[in-house]
Amino acid sequence: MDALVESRPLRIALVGVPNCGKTALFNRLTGGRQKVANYPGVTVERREGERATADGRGLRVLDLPGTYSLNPTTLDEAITRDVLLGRLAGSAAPDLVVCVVDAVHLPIGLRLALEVKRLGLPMVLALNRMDVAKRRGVGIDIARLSTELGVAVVPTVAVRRGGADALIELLEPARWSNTRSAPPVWRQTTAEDAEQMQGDLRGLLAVTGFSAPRISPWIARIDALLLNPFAGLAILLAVLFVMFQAVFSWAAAPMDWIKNGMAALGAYTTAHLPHGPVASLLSEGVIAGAGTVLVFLPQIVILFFFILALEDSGYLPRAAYLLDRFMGSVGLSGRAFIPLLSSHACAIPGIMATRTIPNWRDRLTTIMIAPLMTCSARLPVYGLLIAALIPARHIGPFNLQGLVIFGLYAAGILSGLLVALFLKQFGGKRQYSPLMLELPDFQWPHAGNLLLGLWERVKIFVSRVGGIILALMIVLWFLSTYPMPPPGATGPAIQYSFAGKLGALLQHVFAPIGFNWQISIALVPGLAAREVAVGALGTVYAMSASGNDVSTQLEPVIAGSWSLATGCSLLAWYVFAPQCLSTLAVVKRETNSWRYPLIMATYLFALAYIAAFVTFRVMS
Amino acid sequence: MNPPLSTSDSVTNGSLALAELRRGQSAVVTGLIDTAAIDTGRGSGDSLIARLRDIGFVPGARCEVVARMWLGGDPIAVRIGGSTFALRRAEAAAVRVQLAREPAIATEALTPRASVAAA
Amino acid sequence: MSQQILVAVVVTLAATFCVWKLMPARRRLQILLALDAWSERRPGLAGWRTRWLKPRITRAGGIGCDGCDAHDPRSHRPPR
Repeated sequence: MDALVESRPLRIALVGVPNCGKTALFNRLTGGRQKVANYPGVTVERREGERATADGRGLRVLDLPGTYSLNPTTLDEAITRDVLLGRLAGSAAPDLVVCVVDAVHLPIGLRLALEVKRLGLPMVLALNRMDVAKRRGVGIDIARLSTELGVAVVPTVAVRRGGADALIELLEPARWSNTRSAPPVWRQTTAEDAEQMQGDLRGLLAVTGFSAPRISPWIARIDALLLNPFAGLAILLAVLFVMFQAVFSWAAAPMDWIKNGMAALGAYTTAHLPHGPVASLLSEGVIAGAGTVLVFLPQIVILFFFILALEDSGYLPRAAYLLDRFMGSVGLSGRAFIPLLSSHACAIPGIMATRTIPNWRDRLTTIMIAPLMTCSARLPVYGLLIAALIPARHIGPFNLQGLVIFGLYAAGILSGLLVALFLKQFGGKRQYSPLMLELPDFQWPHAGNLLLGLWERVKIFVSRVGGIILALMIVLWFLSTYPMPPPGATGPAIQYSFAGKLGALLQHVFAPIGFNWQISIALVPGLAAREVAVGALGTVYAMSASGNDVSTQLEPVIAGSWSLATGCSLLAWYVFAPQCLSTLAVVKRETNSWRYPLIMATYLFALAYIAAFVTFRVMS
Repeated sequence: MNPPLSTSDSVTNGSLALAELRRGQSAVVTGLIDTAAIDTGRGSGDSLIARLRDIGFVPGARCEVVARMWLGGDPIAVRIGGSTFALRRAEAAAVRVQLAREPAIATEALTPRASVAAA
Repeated sequence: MSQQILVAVVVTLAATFCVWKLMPARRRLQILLALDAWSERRPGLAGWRTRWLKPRITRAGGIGCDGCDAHDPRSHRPPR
């Protein structure tokens, strides 16, 4: 029995308040050996990693969601508490708890540590960001803290290589093997408990010599500016503006490289392979299809560069602070800002993030409008249409194309707010929803984090293009090639195929809004992923070209054959249309019923059709 | 100045609500009260009070208003215990404070250097 | 002729991949579990089982279709 217990890995849980650098420490401890899944039955992420140890037993490290207290107010926090208590199915309480406390914000982290200590689990305190604390004049007597608290305390600098060494030394499994006696106990904290803990906290802080961190006057000034009602909002608008201008101007050159590369590849294929289905599959299915989507990689990278930089700097909660009043006036909770912002990368994590909104009505409203936020998958569609149809002119210092895309993003946000306002009419008595949002210290974005995040995004995008998008394009190619046209037929071969026939059928539905059959066909695979529509257009147009010259340049073809009205109508469609089945599936999961995703799909399609209709009629 | 909502509570005597402070003012927390604005029945006010306490708004804690939004300070940004939080007016109204210049009810604060010398 | 065969193979693989990725999560999980039970009785497949099948079973139970990696928690950036 002993031998069995001795050989299994030591199970460690990382606990801490949000923004304490816990996740950086987790990465430092586990390196690349991480596994992310979901906790059973809920859509909360479970991050677990491994680390080898000298004695061969190894560590299993679990990164728990950040929480301010073991009295939970949201689902994430409840999970943290339940994992620590061993209540969650499939996991016993951890063998050891590492409480991560930000040395710069010692009071709030230490208070949680006191609460965790009451559980009775073996515990170790990792005092993170000690380097920053020293720089800001915070002196902490670690030895004294350790004695008074009764647990081992080690300093860590999670962002520096080797910064977690002191902690790692402490985590030798042999040390902790026989320390757990009783299972953890917990009860709801009463007012008396809270007072007692506050008393203990005061004592600890006094004894360890903690003093409030110095604030760099520069940071204080910048912060004052960012939070100023007038200057702050102006800065917010300016930042967004610059972002969208950059997405076009910075991406132009790399996009051209990729485009030319694809064109060269296509020409090579047509020239060197014998004429036949394989050559056609490669040049029209693969290169014109998936290749067209790949062209938009630079734009995605730039978009995420800004999103990640803003996230890392701590700016986003400040933007939430500035916009809270507006959100409240349309009936949205202040906590809705971050989910809606995440929806600009992808609506799915955004919808899952609405779990932090305690009020059900608010949460539902936020979920309903999340798909209206322009997600990153729409970017290739917008990019293509804008590049093809909007001239690359300058109005004053501003790039016209950048202005248009800013307008499209604004349209998404505005329509979301209007829908929220509309839904507010159906609400009952206005329940109070709390804000209580932490504004983390404003800091210069960490280059390493940024690059890592961007690299992840690149990998995700490329693997998507090479995976589902490529597969869909191959299938589309097949459906657009067969059945072959009968001998002596005129017109492009594609018209006689499955896809062509389907397109002709769908065109009846979409003709009033100005979509030709090529667009109608492209929308079908677009239901799996929005970007696919771009690839589908690429394939369909490549195959519609008669003669031997198969051009893989989609843009000039569109610019030549579409009217501005059609293009704008398609843009209007894309602002609203729920072209993503995954999103609807997530809504069903988060709301536990089919009703809401159905309502969502219906209202979004209706809005899309109406908007496209109006745009088309007005512009032609 | 808002009339205190709970007149039997000695905590409110002579104190302000955090929501009324101007930008740049420092104050010491004297207590928390359950205001009508945040309690939507079913005792939800309690969990908000508990959460306010958890993030550091306890009697004796020193806080500073870093920023106020227009139209009555909704929300405000408050620095407490070294961290900064954005609170809506209704939440800030639940925190009673005394301006730092005036003699405080509880002199033991979390952050002054004086206590280090005394320790 | 060989061209036709090659194309047919590629298209079939692509179609299977699409169906797999786009089917609802619960159905995918059912199929994975069925595969698990089937391969349990074949010791020769043990390597494939641990390397390919098991990780997918733990990761499955995600949300909706697998059309994009949005539902995959790995693609979510952890908070700061």
